Amino acid sequence: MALFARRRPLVPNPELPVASPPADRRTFLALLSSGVTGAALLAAWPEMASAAEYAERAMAAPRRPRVTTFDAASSRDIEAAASQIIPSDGTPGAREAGVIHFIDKLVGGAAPELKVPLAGLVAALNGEAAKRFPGAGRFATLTGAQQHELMEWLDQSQPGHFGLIRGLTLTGMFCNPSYGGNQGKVGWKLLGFQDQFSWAPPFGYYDRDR
Amino acid sequence: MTDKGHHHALPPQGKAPRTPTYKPTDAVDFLIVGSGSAGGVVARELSQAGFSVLVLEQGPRFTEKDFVHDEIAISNNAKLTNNQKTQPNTWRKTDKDKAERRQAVQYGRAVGGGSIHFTANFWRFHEIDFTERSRVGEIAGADFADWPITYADLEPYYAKVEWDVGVSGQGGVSPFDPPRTKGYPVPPLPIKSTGVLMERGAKAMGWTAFPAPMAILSKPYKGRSPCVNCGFCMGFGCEVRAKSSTLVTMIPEAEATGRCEVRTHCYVRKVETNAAGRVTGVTYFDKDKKEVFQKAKAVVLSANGAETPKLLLLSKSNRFPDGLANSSGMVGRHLMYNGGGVAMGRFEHEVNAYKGPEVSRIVHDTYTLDPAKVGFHGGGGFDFRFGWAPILYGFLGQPPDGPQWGSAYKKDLHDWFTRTVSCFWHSTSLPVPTNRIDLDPDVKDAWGLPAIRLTFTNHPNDLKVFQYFNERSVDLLNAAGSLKSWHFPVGEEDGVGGPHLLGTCRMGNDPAHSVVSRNHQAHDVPNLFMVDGSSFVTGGRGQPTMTIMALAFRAAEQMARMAKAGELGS
Repeated sequence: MALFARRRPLVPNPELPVASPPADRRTFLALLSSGVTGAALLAAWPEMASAAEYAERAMAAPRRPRVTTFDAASSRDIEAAASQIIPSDGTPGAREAGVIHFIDKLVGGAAPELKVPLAGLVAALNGEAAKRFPGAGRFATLTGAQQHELMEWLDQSQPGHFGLIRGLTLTGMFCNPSYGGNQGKVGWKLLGFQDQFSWAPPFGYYDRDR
Repeated sequence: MTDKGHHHALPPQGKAPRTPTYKPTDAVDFLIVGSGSAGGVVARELSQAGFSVLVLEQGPRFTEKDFVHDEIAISNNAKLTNNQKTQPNTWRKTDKDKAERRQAVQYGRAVGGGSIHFTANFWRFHEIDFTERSRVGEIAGADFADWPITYADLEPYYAKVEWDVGVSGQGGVSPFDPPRTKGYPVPPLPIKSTGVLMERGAKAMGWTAFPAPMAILSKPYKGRSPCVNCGFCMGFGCEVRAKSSTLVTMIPEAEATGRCEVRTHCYVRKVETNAAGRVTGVTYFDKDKKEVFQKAKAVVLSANGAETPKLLLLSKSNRFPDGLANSSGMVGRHLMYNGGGVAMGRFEHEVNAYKGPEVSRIVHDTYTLDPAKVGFHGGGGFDFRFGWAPILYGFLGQPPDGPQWGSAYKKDLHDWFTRTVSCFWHSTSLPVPTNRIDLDPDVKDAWGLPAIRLTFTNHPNDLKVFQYFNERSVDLLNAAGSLKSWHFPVGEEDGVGGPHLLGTCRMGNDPAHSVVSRNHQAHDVPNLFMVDGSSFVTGGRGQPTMTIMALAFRAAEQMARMAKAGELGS
């Protein structure tokens, strides 16, 4: 228990009207341990199905579409924050997965209620940026080290905002590509997950090791 | 033994079975509320016995093409289950607290119910699960009681589940299994790396890992395909009809009789009674939220351990002021979720636990623990599996004392997804009278009905059980060679929101202390039956669906007998 007490919430503040997984970790674990995936605990998530149509268009388009739900500067800030969660450090990260496009369609379609908390995230990052690095510009234009410092601050002191961007980044990273994220299946490649209709044993190293 | 010689083969795919359409004024012999694990079985048994049967299902009817590998559509958006947006729940810890909105229960909300998305662990209960009160004695704060039936009473019906519904397994391999009259119709599913590791860990601990009985076909059986190992079982529907849901087993066989209609998008709001105190039918909201009164000679509630008591409490009248069939005051009480938790371990080589059905080996050495040795009452079992679809793994797949974002987190995701094993444990949880489902006085659902309100906190004994099983799970992973193992913390509200909904209309011989008889007949109303997880007196050790189905087979036989003998009073 103490282990968790020291840690910040891994998921958004349930008081924020955000696309959050279960309101708390325990609900999630209780469900999980009862023999289901996160179906119930994730039930509070907004409908995302309409994102699929968009994403298919986006992937069919020769160039990635412009973000429409945020101005260009905010969009760059959100993308930079997502990129701190899953960096592009030698292998594709949130940026290459198109997490910003996943978020854009979500906010523009099924979950407009996310716009306000995401704007709050952008304001929080830029407000703290102005305090710590006066004159250095917006979050997206800071150095990687400066962005990392601000994300550490967000993680420690703004659990709602932090959980929001972490949750959206991971969802956009590992969702079915039809939702606009996980473009080129870079998220699944990171994990080593292959979505395949069927498999035959042996599935792993130990299968025959009896 | 495969599909030879079975007379209830499924109708050919693509050809609609000949099903009746009953009018609201047709008094059907049996009206069943719910088409899941219990409702599907009862519908099949009663329609094959010659009765007219109408099944009302809250949710839609899916086909295989709906069961996609899409975590957002299926899991996040609750495609297969109850949705808090339209049917909110509330929860409070004790009667003194004000309930707040929170998912309290999960159930399958479609034809087939929870059997569509379950993991398909199909353990039978053991003798002890029916007689714990006599064996253990009283436990303060719990309303412990023996079942009015024994394992021996239920054994033939467990065999019926295995053979009629379709369970893969191997009889006689578990040193702890109770007596069985028959083996399994198809052999166990192939062993996975998780199973091999479990065998290794169990051996090191002096325990025995044995092939898991699973309601997923390992071979063709009764016209259905065997498992293709796609890996999307837990929480997802099966694309090839290998998982033995009632959607692909019992329901089509019921419809093939020509006497059973399954009506979807029907949300029952009241069981109606007459001046004589007999059930006359039900009132439900149809797809357009219009109210329909459907006549019936007898009503069976198989709506699950939350919706069944809710419906009884909604069905109050002058004659039944505290809710229908509730003269005992027991309706909604004793909710048990089963204890359950997970520990995780990281292994040297690739396990790829995400491929194939979740479980291939289980351990039951801890099924019945000695209170003198462990300091509490209880028991349970373990399985090794994965349990993490990709998004979920991203959220919670790493140890809580490690990085949760940034390059180091990304490296962990990359390094361990294919090499992580989860040890799931499943245990007893006690029936506590104050742990209950009732109607929220303020919050309403999208139909204007009161929301389910849950009052729940785990019994102190059970917190010790949960901690014990967490620690033994880590032991088992370590003994299997895990490089790093961890478990999640125990809490008083563990289980809230879960899908095992047990005990809320308990069966018993004494009408003052139970809701239904040993034959699932309401003590107060002779033509009303409750058959689902609500009938449980104690919760077993997890994995209740096998027992729900066995009870349903037995209950249907009793209902048919009583109806033919004119004992329903309608």
